[in-house]
Amino acid sequence: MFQRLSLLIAAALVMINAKGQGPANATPMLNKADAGQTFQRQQSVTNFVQAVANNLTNTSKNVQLKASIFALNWKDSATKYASEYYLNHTFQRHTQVVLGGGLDGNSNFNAFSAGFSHDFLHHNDVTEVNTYNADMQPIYDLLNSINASAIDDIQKADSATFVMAILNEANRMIAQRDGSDFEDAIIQKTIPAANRESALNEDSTLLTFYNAVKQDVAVSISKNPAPGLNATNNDIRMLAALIAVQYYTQPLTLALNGYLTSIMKSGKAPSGPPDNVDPETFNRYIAAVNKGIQAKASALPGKNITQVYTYIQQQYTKHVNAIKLRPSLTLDYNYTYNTSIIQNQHNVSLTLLWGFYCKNPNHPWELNLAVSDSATTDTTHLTTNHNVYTGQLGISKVFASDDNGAALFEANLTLEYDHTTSSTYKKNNRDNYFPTLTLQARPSAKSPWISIAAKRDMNHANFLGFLNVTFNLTNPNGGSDKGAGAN
Amino acid sequence: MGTVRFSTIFSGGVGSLTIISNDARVTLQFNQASHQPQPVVLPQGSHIFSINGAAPNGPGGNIELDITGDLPGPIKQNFAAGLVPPHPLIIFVTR
Repeated sequence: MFQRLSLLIAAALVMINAKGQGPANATPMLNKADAGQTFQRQQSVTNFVQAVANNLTNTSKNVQLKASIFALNWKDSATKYASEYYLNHTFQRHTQVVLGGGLDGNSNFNAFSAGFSHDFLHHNDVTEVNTYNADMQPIYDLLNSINASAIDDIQKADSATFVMAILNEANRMIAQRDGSDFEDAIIQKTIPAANRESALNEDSTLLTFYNAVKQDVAVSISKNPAPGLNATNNDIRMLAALIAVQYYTQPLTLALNGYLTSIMKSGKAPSGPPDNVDPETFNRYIAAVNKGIQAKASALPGKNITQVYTYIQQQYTKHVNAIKLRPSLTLDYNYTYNTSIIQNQHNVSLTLLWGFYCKNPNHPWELNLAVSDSATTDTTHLTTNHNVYTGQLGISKVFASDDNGAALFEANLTLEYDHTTSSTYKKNNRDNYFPTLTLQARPSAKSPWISIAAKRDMNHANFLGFLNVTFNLTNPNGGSDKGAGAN
Repeated sequence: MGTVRFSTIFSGGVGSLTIISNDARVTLQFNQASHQPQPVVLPQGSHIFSINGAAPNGPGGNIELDITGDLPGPIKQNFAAGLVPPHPLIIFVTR
């Protein structure tokens, strides 16, 4: 039996891999929209592809493949994930198709199922909302001011230093009436050692500004007596500013996004300066920003760059996770054809999920309201039509989540009411009640869910137990995870 | 005076990016519907901007910022899904 299940799951993996890989510029954060979802949200309409195997320990098993239509869209990833295309395919992204097969007690395929789900509301879709948190604007403004001031101070100080260095060399050349080694002298005194060799050979902009200064030196030398240059010389000021930007402050500012993002993800500062950044410039910048933060301590949530950026990430995560609690309303239809017991089964359901939280959106509650109708033709009872209406009211609570707010442990309590409108089986009641307690856990957001459910049949005083495992087939880097589920 | 053009490419859904000059004379707003470069005329020399925003959270979520024009060379930055931390960017306008 497990061989057949494995075969089916392997086929799913091959299908996903053949479909193409994710976007080239995908990052580990790209599936945060999925990672933060509770188990129930992931089950309603998945953003990815899932395989689910049910009743592994019973004599009747089945396997399902679930995929959103958008996940099966064959467009190249650059086109598919471009925001305009992505947002114009709302229906595809919120509709999933389901295919399944069943195994009997001898592990022979005996059933086929197909269906679809569509989320009409999807107000919880964070990819359709600008997650910029305007409530944090005063802190952002203050940080922008501190950052810009720090860079401005460094830029001005470096420029002033380089003006004097260039000026001294220029006036030395003028005094000697020889400008032949001017280039080497300027490079040695202003440009970082790693860039000196290529500076005047490959940096055409630097060469242009250097030539302007060189021309000023030549003009001065041509006069008798030769007037020296002074610090107000615009060509020298521009050359100094260019060197300060191109070789010191701009590499730093270009690296800061990655550096700060690293702090926000890990809650601690990287061990050293970013690559290609002058260490001294980096240290001066961090010291200046920390000094600026301390000067505004009463208005900022931290005493240094690490504490403040960790805080704004935490607030952002809370903001995003609060959006994920907004309601979804999903219509499901599933058809099953079974060669043995029940020939045909049609199941239609409507499910409302609505989350809320008291203090921490990373540990939310979620309301689950569902109604469904199941119509079956049962050949073991002489082609009896069997129709059951079901109502479910449930409440979930997330008790543990990771740093990104992805649920890791949650409990769900559901009360199910079944009403059979026709052809009740012998010994079965027309009305049945099933309270169910489910505990779901996973070690990380990328791990499979493991859930244990205890269901009570109130009419027969029976307890039913289920063990479920659910994997997702797509991984956060756009490739494919191992994935399957089992009940 | 030189002309510098700022443009963005958003992927993975809805997002936003704000770029403000240090002297507050230039404020540029971008989102997933921004298709045209936004040109800015600036005096020769160094200029500091503050960048902040939120990149789309969907699959492939990213904002690509391209800065071209009268610069020593084109500048490209990518901001991955999620919060774009408030941070500075310094450029040098060549004429």
